[in-house]
Amino acid sequence: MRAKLLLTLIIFAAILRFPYIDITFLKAFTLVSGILAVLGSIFLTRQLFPERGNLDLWVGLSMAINPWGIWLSKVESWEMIGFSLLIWGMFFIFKKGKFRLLGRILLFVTILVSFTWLPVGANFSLLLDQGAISNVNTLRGQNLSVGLPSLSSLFFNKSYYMIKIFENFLSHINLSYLFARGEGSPLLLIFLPFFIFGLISIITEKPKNFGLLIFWFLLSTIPSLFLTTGVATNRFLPALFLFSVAIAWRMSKLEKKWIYLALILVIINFSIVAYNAYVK
Amino acid sequence: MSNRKIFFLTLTAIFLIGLSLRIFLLSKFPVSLTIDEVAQSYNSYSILKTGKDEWGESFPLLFRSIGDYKSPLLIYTMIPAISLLGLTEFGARVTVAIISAITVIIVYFLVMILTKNKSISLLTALSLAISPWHITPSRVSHEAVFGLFLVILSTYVFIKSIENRSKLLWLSASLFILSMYAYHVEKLFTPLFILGLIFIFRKNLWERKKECLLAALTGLILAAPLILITLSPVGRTRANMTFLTQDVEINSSLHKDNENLSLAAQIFDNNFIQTFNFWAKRYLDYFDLDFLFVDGMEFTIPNSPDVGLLHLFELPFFLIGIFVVIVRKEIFKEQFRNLLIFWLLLGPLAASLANNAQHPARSLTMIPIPQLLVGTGVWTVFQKIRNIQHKKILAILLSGMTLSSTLYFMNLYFINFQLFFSEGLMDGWKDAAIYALENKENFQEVVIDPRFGTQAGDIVGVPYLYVLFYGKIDPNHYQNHPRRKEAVDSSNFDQFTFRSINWIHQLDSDKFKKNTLFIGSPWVLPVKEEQIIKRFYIYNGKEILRAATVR
Repeated sequence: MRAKLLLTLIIFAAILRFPYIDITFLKAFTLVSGILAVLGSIFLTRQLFPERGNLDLWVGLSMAINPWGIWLSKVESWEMIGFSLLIWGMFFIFKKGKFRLLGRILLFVTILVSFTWLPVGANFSLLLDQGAISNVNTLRGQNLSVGLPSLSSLFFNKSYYMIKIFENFLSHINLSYLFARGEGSPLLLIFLPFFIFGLISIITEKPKNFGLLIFWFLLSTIPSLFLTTGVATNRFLPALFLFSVAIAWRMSKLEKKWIYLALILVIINFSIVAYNAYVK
Repeated sequence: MSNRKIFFLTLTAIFLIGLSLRIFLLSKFPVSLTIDEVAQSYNSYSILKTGKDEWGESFPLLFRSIGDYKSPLLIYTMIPAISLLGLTEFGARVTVAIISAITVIIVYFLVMILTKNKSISLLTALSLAISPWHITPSRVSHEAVFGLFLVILSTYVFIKSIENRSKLLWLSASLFILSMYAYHVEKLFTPLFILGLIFIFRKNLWERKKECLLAALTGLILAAPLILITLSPVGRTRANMTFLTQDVEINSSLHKDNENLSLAAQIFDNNFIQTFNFWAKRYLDYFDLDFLFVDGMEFTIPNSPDVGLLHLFELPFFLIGIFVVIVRKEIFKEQFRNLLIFWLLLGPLAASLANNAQHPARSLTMIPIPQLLVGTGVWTVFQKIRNIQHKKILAILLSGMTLSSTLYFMNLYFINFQLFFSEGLMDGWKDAAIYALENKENFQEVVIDPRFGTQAGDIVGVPYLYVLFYGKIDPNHYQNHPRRKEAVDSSNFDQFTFRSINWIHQLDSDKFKKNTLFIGSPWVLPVKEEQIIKRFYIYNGKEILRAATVR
C-alpha cells in the first residue's frame, strides 16, 4: 500500500511539472532534480521521524504540489538542483552505515552548486546600498534643522543596516508572502491552517531532530539576508522541506473523513493558482 | 509602603506617562489640523450653537461633512471641550487624547480581570501607554481611538459581569452598540465580536437568560437607528467608497459585468475568487512582524529608519507571550484564551476589507492583544530568572530600552514625520485661511482653489472648513447664507468662493478678474512675481500656497 502511494505521489509530482514545459538539457536536469527532491524528502522524513507513521507521504504531497517546488522544476534552476542534492545528502547522512560517505559527498557538491547560484558580488547588495545611508543622513539633517543634533547620531547611524538585515529575516516568515500571493507564494493558501497548527504541535512536542529543523531554517534564510530586494524565493528553496514537514505534521493527524475534504480543497486551490500561472 | 500603594502609584505613573505622550505639544504637533479634525470640530461647534450640522441637519446620526458620512459619537462627545476651549487646535484634539489616556487604565483593569495578575496588567498598560500605534491616532482626534475605548470598556464590563455575576450585561451591550456609533470599523467588528463572546461564554450566559434578554433588548433598541441608517443609500456610501474592491491594486483586474469569460475563467478566475485571494493577502499583511515591529507607522520615506506599530524591543517578549499563552496554554483559563485568540484574529478583519493596505488606525481594534502578549512575555522572563541581581539588571536594561525606544519614536514623530509629511497633513491651509479672513474686506471676492500640493497631483483640500474653523464663523450664519443655496454642495459664503482657479491658459477668465483675492497652489497660480501678495510655506519650508491678485 505504501509503495503504491509513494509511486502515485511521484507520478503526480511528475505530471504537475510537465505542462507548458519547453525541454532543454538543463531544464530536463532540473525537472528530474525537482521530482527526485520530492522522493528524497519522503525518504528523509522517514529517517528523521521514523515514529510518525505516514508523515513522510504527506510531506511528499506538500513538496509535490506547492507552487515553488513546481515552478522551479520547470526552469533552468541551479537552486532546484542544489536543493535536491541537499535533500539526498541529508538523507544519506542520516542513513546509518556505509551511505554516510555518499551523503557527505552530496552535501559537498551542494555547497559547490550553491556557489554557482550565488555569485558573491550580488549577495551583499544591501550592505552596498548607498540609498539607505543617504536616507539616514537625510534624517540626521532634519534633526539638525530643528536644532536637535545630539539625538540624530544616536538614533540614525550605520546600525540601520542591522535593522535592514533583521527586516530581511522577518520577511522570510511573513505569512502573506508564504501563502497568500497566489502563484507568487511558495505555498498554497489552503495549507496555512495546517502549517500553523503543525508548527504549534512541533514546538510543543519538540520531536527528535527539532534542533536540526531550527538550524536548517536559520541557514536557509542566509542567502537572501543581505539583499536589498528582501527574501528571494529561489534562494529560500531549502526551507520548502521544513514548511512541508510543518504542514504534514498536522495533515497526517487528520481523521479519515476530513482527509478527502482537505485533498479536494488542496486540488481546487492548486487549480486556481495553476490557472493564474499558466493561462492568465 | 504597602503593595497596594505601590501598584496604585505605578498605575498612576503609567497613566501620566500615557497622558503626557498624548498631550505634549498637542496643539503644535501634528503641525496642522487634518481635514477630519476641522470637520469634526466645526460640526461639533455647529451642533453646540444651533443643534444642526454644517449642512443644517438637526442632530444627525451620520454626519454628511465632506461627503464621507462620519460616525456621530465623537462629534457629540467633543462638544464640552469645544464649548470650553473654543475652535482651537487644542480644543479639537484634547477629547480623544484624554479618552486615549483613560484607555490605558481600562486596559489595566481588563487584563487584571483576565489574568488576576497585577504585574502583567501593569506591563500591558505600560506597553499601551508608550505604543506608537495608539499614540499617533490619539493626537489627530481619530475616531478609531474612541471606538477602541468603548470596545475595551464594554468587554471589561462583560467579563466583570460574567465573573462576578453582577447584573451589568445590559450596560456592556449598550457600550458595545455605542462603539458602533463611534467608528465605521466597529460596525463590522462589534457584531462579530459579540457573537464570538456569546459562543465562548455560552454556558455562563445560558444560566442567566433573563439578563441576556434584557441586554439583547437594550442593544437592539440602541442599534435600531444605526441599522436603519446604515442600510439606507446614504449610510452605504462610506462602505461603498472604501470597500476592498475599490482598491486600485485589484480594481483593474476584476472582470466587468459584460465581459465574456471562458468556462475555466468562470470557475478559477471569477471575481469572488480574485477578491478572496486579494483579501487573504491583505488580511495576513496585518500579521507581518516587519509591519508590526519595524516600519509599520511609516513616519519616514521607504528605505529609512522607522518605527513599527509596537517597539522593536518588544518583539522577543511578544513571541514569548505567544509561546506561553497560545502554544503552552498557560496563564489564561481556556475561555479567556479563546477570547484573546478570537480578538486577535478578528481585529484586522474590517481593516483588511477596506481599500488601503496595512492601515494602523483601522486595525486598532486588535491592539490590546499584542500589548497583552508583550506584557505576558516580560512577566514570564522575570519569572524564569531566579537570581535577584539578574532580575535587577534585566529591569534596568528593560527600563533603558523603554526610554530610548520611546525617545526614538518621539524623535521620528515630532521631527522627521512632520518634515516629511506635513503636506499630507494639510499644512498651509491654516495660514491661508487666516490671511484670507484678515484681508477679505479689501476685496470684492476671495477665491480659494481646493487643489493642493507642492507639485500638481490629485490631492484636494477642503479650504472652506479651515476658513470656518479659524474664522470661528457663526454656524447659523453659514448654514443660512444665500450663497450656499447656489448649488447642492456649495460651501461658498460671504465673499468666499471655493472653486478651481482658471489661470493657466492665455485667455482664462480669472486672469482678468480685478478686485479679487486668489489663493491656490503654486501650479494653480503661475502668476507674475508682482501679482503675488503672499506666499504660504509648509513645515519643511516648501511653498504650498500663494495669494495673488490682478494688478
